Amino acid sequence: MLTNLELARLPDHDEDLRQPIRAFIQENTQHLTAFERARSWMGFDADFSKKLAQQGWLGLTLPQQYGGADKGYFTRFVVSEELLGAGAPVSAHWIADRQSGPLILRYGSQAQRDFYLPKICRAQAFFCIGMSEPDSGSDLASIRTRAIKNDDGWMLNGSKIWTTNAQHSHYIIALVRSSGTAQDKHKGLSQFIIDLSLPGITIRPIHDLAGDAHFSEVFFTDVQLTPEALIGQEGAGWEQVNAELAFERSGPERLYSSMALVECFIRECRQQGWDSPPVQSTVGEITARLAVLRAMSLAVTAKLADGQNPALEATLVKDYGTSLEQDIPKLIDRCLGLYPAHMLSTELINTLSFVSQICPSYSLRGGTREILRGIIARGLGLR
Amino acid sequence: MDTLLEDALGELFRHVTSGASPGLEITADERKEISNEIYASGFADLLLPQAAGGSGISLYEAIVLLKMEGYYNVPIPFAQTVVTRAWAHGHSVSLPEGTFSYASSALQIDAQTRSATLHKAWHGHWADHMLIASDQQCFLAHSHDRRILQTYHGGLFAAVAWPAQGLTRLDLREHAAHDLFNFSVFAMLAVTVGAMEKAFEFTLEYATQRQQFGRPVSKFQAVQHQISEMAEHVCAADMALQMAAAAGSNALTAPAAPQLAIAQFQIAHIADRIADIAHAIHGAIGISQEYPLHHYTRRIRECKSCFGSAQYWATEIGQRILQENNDTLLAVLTSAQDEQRTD
Repeated sequence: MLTNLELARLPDHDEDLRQPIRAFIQENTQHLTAFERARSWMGFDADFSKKLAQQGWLGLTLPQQYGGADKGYFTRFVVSEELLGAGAPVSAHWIADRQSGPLILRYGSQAQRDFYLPKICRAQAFFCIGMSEPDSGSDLASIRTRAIKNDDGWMLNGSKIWTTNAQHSHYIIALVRSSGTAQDKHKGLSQFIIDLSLPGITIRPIHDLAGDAHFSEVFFTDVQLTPEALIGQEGAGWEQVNAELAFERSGPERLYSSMALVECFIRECRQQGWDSPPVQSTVGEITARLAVLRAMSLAVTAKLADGQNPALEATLVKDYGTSLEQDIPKLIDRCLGLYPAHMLSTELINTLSFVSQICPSYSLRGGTREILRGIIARGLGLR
Repeated sequence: MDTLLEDALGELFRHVTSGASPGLEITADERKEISNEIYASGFADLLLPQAAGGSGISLYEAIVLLKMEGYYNVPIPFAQTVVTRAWAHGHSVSLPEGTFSYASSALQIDAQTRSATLHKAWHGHWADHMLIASDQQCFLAHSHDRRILQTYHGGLFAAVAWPAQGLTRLDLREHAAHDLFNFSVFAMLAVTVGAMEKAFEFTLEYATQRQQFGRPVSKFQAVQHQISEMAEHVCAADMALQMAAAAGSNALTAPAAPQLAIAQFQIAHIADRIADIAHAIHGAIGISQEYPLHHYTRRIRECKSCFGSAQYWATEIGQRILQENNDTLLAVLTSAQDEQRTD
């Protein structure tokens, strides 16, 4: 049965962080157009990530002994929504900060923690995640990339695809088969941290429909890994990956992907004095739905902060959030199209076009809509 | 809050609605009996301070109780009566005993004779009293002078009229009139969300029990995905309601207009989708009078826009945002909590 999400509020001391970080973002992203901001967490700028690190805003949830801030989920919520809401170019550090760091902290050996976590907090180690393969998308259990144990550690062969930022990253955390066959499904999968500068690794960026190259194909040909490359338990990769996804699915990244377009649209409406009822209702609908979704996302965050595992709720909020993110360009396009005589700025035209084209990806990354609805159905006892 | 009140009211509502023949419209006598029993329970005063004989809980804490009117398909305007009594207490308005309904739109008030006609009045054919707001004025209309023009199928709404002598003008300050409106919108939303939750439960249960092609229909992906979507909408509706209630610092404070507009939009926006999925999953049985789903989907569909459609409320919200000097939308969204720092 569905448990209700309970309205939560951000603790005041986390809320107090908002203005400083907002001012910092404003100062450091002044040069960005809406079209560039619309990349959201796909916008890459290593220098921006380093500046954030200098402010102490990376590795917020990691312990201080590794250079983190030892803060909780609420702090991360505030910082994340300020960054994403402004369309700051966070992609360089995003995956390391959100997923890889917490994963290493939870499953890594002491040596792995000591090695990677300080680098993550200083924006010196960027990570990507190797999940999908050419023949394995939603059906992750069918992956074929294989690590075979040898005297020096592990010999890795295979390939990954749609790996966000592989071409810019220092490390990939890949889910690969370490024993058994595809028939064993989720058994026999393990996670490895792989240095992308090792011999035998080739990275080929893939251009997307918008002309960007934010993801890549990664080939592993006889890549020799040390025994220390394995993270967590051999054969427990599936469970580890799923724990990771729960962190990923609930956050503000499922709210603000179209935010740069929204802000650009509202700004232009104000500047041009467009305030007809259809314009008002478009702005109103987007505002209301964002406000409710934000409250839902915050409620999931509160559950995480409370030590619960809101995997089902997080999945539900993600699916709902990406639906809104994808509706936003359509709502704005429908509204603007009511006034063919209005002269739109090139920035708005460019941004709307980009978001309209790229938005199908919002409900693909981090689990497709169909997979998520299946997870919700299982949670409801239907499967 | 512990679940003491929740359990007691649930028990009462289960009891009073158990005698009603499923699917059939309730008789006036049955309704009166139910009304008396609920009234005698004292729950109508639940939002009042303890010193005034109430339970002293906040509007936020009362959500679960107000929703029950819709969830149990209670045939009297319980939520509206509760908020009306809280409002009257807060603004020192003296009102008679009995159940209350409220209307603020689509009414004709004749300025000369001061007679009033309402073509869609919530429980208009039988609530003891109706509060009618019009052009900064508020009237109390009594049941004994009421002329019922038509009762609509389902028994939730009626067309009613009052002659001049049936209306008493209440001397209210503008603030009080706004509060009454906001309380009334909130009550209607709570009832609607309660009906949504019940429709969802029906749907979930039916899908796991109904067998076709040798297995429960819940085993089909097309069915699962629709129910998952429904779960999302119901969850969002409840969250929107919570947001509206949280803006008030205590029980006697009406929900704040901006948050209420958001709740009204969200709930109206997804109401039909929830009802559509419930019926799609049920198939033909859901359309029958005998099977009770229609009580809940009727409430969902008919109550969602009583105070304005999703489009209407979206326009209200958008107008405010566009006028809000040069704030980014992010700044607006994240400042909502600051406004709530009343404690």
